[in-house]
Amino acid sequence: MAKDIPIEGITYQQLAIKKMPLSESYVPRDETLIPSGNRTVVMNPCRTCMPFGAMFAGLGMHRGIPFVQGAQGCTTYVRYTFCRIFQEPASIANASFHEDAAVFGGRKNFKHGLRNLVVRYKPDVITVVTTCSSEIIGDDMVSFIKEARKLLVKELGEEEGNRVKLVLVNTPSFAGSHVAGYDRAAKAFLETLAKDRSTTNNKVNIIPGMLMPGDIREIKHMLAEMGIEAHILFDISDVFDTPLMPPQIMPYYPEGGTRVADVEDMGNSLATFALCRNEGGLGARYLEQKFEIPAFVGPLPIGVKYTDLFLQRLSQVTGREVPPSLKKERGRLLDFMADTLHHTMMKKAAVFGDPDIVTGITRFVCELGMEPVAVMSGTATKTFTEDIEEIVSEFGAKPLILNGSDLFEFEEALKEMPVEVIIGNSKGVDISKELGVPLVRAGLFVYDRVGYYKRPIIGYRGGERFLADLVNAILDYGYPGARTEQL
Amino acid sequence: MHTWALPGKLTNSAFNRRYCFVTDMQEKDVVFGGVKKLKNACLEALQLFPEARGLILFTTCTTGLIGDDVRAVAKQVEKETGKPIFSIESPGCSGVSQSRGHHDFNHQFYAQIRALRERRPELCMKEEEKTPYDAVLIGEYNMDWDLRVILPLFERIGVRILCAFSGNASIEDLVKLPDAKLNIVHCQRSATYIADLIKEGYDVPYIRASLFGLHQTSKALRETAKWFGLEERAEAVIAEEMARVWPALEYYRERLRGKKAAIYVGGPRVWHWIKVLEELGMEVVACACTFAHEDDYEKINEKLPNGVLVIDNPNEFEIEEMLETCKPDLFLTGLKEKFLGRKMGYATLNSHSYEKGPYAGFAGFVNFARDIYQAVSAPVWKLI
Amino acid sequence: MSMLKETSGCVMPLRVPFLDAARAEHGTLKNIAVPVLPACDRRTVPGVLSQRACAYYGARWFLAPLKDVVHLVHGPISCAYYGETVRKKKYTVFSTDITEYEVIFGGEGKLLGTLIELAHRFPGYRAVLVYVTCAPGIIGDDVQRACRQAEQATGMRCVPVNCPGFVGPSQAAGHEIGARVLLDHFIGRNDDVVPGPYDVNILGEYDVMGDLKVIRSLLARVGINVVSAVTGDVSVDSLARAHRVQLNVVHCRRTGGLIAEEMKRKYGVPFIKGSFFGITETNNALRRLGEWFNLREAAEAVIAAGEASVSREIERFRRELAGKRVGLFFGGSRIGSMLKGYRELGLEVLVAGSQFGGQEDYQAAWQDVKPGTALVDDVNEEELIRFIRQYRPDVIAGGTREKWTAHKLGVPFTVFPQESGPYAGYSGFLNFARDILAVLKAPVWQMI
Repeated sequence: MAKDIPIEGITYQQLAIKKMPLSESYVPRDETLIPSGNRTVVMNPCRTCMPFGAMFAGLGMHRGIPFVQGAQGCTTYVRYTFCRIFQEPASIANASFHEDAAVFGGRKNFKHGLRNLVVRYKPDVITVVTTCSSEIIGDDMVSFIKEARKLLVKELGEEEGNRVKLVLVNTPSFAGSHVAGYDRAAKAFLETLAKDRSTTNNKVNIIPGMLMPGDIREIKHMLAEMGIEAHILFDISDVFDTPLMPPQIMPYYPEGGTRVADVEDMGNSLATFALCRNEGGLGARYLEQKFEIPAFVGPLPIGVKYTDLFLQRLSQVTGREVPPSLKKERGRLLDFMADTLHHTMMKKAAVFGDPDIVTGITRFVCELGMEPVAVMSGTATKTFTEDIEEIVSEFGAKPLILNGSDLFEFEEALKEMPVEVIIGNSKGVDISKELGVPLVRAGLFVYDRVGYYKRPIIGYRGGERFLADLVNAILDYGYPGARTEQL
Repeated sequence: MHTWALPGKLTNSAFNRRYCFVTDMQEKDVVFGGVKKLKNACLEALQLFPEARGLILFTTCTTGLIGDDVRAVAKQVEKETGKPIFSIESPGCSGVSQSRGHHDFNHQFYAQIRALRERRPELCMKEEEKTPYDAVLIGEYNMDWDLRVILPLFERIGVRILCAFSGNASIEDLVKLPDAKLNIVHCQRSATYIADLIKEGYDVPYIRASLFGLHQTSKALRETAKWFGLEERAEAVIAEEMARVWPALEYYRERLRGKKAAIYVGGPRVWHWIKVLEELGMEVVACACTFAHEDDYEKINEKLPNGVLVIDNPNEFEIEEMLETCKPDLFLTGLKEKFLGRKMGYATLNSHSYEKGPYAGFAGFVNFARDIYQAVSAPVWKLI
Repeated sequence: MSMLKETSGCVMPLRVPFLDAARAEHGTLKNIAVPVLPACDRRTVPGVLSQRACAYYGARWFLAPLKDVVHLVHGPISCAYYGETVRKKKYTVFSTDITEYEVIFGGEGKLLGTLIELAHRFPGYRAVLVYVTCAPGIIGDDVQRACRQAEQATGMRCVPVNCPGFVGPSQAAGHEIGARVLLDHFIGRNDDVVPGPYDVNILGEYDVMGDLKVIRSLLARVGINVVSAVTGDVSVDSLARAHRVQLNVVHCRRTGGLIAEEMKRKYGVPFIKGSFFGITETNNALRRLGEWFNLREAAEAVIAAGEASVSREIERFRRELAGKRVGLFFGGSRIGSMLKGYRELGLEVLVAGSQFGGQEDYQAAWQDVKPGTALVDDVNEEELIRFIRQYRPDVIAGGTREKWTAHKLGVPFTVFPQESGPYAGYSGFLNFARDILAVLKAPVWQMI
């Protein structure tokens, strides 16, 4: 104990923390309560709140700030989450609900909060995000917004007071998860902003869903190779992955984000691609009904076939050929798949996360010759089970499909089946440790390792990147040391 | 989902970091009330995890607003399972900040352990188990294993720490809070309430202590030792620890001397850090708190020279302005603001949940100095 | 293959269609009437992309697993860099790091210095093996003398392995050099051991992915004890007493045969051939050994148990693999025994090729293949591509270097030495079958 402490300080090794289970022997879980359908309590949820999705969308607007009509935690928790995932600032305003708001409604908080936000930050667009509390109290947001607008015009003049766009997204968490929050936001933005100019702009609309900056860049890359111009509704690529280049403008705004004018122009495009059926599909359908713009809803271009499909449809809509450069990317992915198949074939994989990304990944792991043994979407959707069944039947696999369950059921199920790799977000770390199976991180909530948001998993190049992670995880984990010194 | 596996607070038992339980309120529950659902959920959770020794229910905005009688559910579940069930009603929309939640928890938890001790005296500490040197750490959350550094210090003096409220503590230990002879209050914002309540209800006195930095840690040990009459042992421990960390600290002091720092954290940490940075030879040029109260500011003012900027609950705009005007070499802050500071080209340190802790006590102070040095001297800032 | 059926009655041996015209004699299509073997053990035509390696490579392949000796590569540092890795395992090697200075003034002094230094730093080691590479071979360093001097100065045995890359047509030369080193310097040094009644050596077994463990346990169950496996598991001590066994079992003839013959000549140790790859081969080997040691019943019991443990699964694999057409391109003498394994699973062998096989190896292969099958020697990359274009095989087996070429042409490939687990014995054969099925079934081939 009396040893001098070196300048390196105390290391975690020196601390030697011993983990102790709550009971000395393993406590078997009551089997009847393991399936989530048999119980009320939810353990280790695999989805988060609806406002999260709306805030994600709102931050994807250029000079866009979400304004959360709720308690401060509704903002702070979400900001924590964004910061932990992206290691970036996330500016979100809040109505600071307290007891008085709960009793008298949030009108005062909203009006003044919104006014303060506009005066201080001069945003281009404010996403008004409702919460459980404002919905339960019964805040009439439509009239609040009108009042707020009046106040703004009164104080700032006609032009400045009307300049900021206000988009209302109703997101009570008890009615759905973050997936629905994003979906609703996509529709709300298009409803509020999109205009029909009756001349086509020869562009396509892309609603990517809650993908990572690396994924959005990959979409842009594919579009550029095809020679297609596009409006991307909520382009978070230069919001959640921005350069360190001070001095920054004050107040701080990231350079990126979708411009309001672009959203307005989305009513004149050739087609809308909602890459995630459940995250943006509502928006695409709205444009279809209102402006007769063809909608392509899902699947997320992960892996070979789904990327093929995406490019095919792009080609079909715009009349542009898939260029040799993309065909070569496809070839490189295939080459990589062939080169690594010894490590992927017949490997048993479990996948969890948000529904569309899970569907895409399940398709890709099947293409790799892996066998999905358990597939879970944290958010229940109408088509998830069907979608997965269609994929796996093509490859002759019969995984356990959990549509909208929790990670407790997922974990207990995995304990009963052979599984060699788990694919999902950081919430799966404990399961991976307990089962002694590697976790390959993918999807929205990767906050315990750096850099995942920078690299794509969609498209051919994303496939290569993801495959490398997958195989390296397998090599790092179960293989004998001498075996992996050289491939 | 958000509360699950927050960083920093660590325990030996993997249980409460491993599992997170939620009732998953749906629209129909909001309309028809969630009491039945809550009760079912509690019973199922305890059935699935028989090894769990108790249960704490938290309400949120939704359940707070629809007015579910959570206390009644707790009573029923306790009756049916025999396990102590606590309920804390602190919906998000109450109070001005998270500080309200600290207050709610302190008061409600105290009232409930008091009632529980009367109802089930077998849960109190037995007379024969008590020693004259029993103390409890109040407001110590075991950030990044601070307790691993703190506990041995007290043990070597001869003081037995029964538990920390609440870091690496089990529910049984927490029920025994009033059985100590002395409460040592570390975080004096979030937990002084319960120390006051225990003093009132059980006549257990408390002392305030900060365990960050050499000076404050020594002071805390001395005061604790004085209370128990163990001064000599305390002096020996302090001397030994000082000698241990001195060479390492000298290294950093030389390199950090004169560097300017801005601080923005929750509350009392601000004035904890001021003292500590001074010990490293650094100069505090600006301070801001999220939820500090008046007494915190009094302490801050006391500790700072004239002319230093102090802001209460700043927004992002104000933080930016603070950084631009003061141009600190280091910005000590929490997770959310850390990235903003970084974008503007300032070295940052997460002093909420730490970078690579523990930071408390003597040995932890070396970690703190090391992390500050690493943040300030990273080559990246020169490349911008 | 209808093309081949038509010609099976033909008297003249047919040209293998995918070979270079100038190398026509390096290949033959099996024709029962005219038993012609491919020309082999000849120098590779310069400029073609051969898969062969050098004598130093062969010597490392053979000697690398030798424990408790220091492996010193006398040459520029690069040869040591590559020589670290043998059969995808990493070994520690040392290098004299020959530079321009030594090339001009001679490297003997540096070698001597290095040897003395090694002897002092690693006194626990039993000997130093000095691999002589091209550079010192050409400048004519007297490695023998340096070794002698070092030995006198330090007492550490220093053994030259004279394997400069330019020696011989292929790595096979290095195998032989390695075998000679063992025979001349290590085997038979310790006569004090009385051989156990059931002691054997296995010669030409390299313990790829745990193969040796499988073989050892099979033989142990018959009652036979494996003393050394050359060179999968050998130490200086085990080699010193290697001649004190009842029998040598030659697994790979090309690398183990020489030692077997020499040990028979010098010490009177008899040898038999035996392969543990494939069910039939394993059965045969066990039977032969049971016969030899008079342990017939035990051998039969092991065979019965082994067959029973895998028969159901083998059946399944056979169903899925039957009729698939395969091209085999191996290193040396195991072509014969390996292709039996493929045929056992019902695969049709289109071609059996070897990089450096000898007459005897081709003879063995010739006997095992169906008429019309091509036997080819030292196939180069162009020929491999031509083979794929002409035959469109379902799967190819061979070394890592050919794998990527085959992939580019859309053909699945399995690699030898294998990468996944033991292939020897009964359970190993399941691994083998599973690997073939895995590459064949990979969905990627359908997407190209």
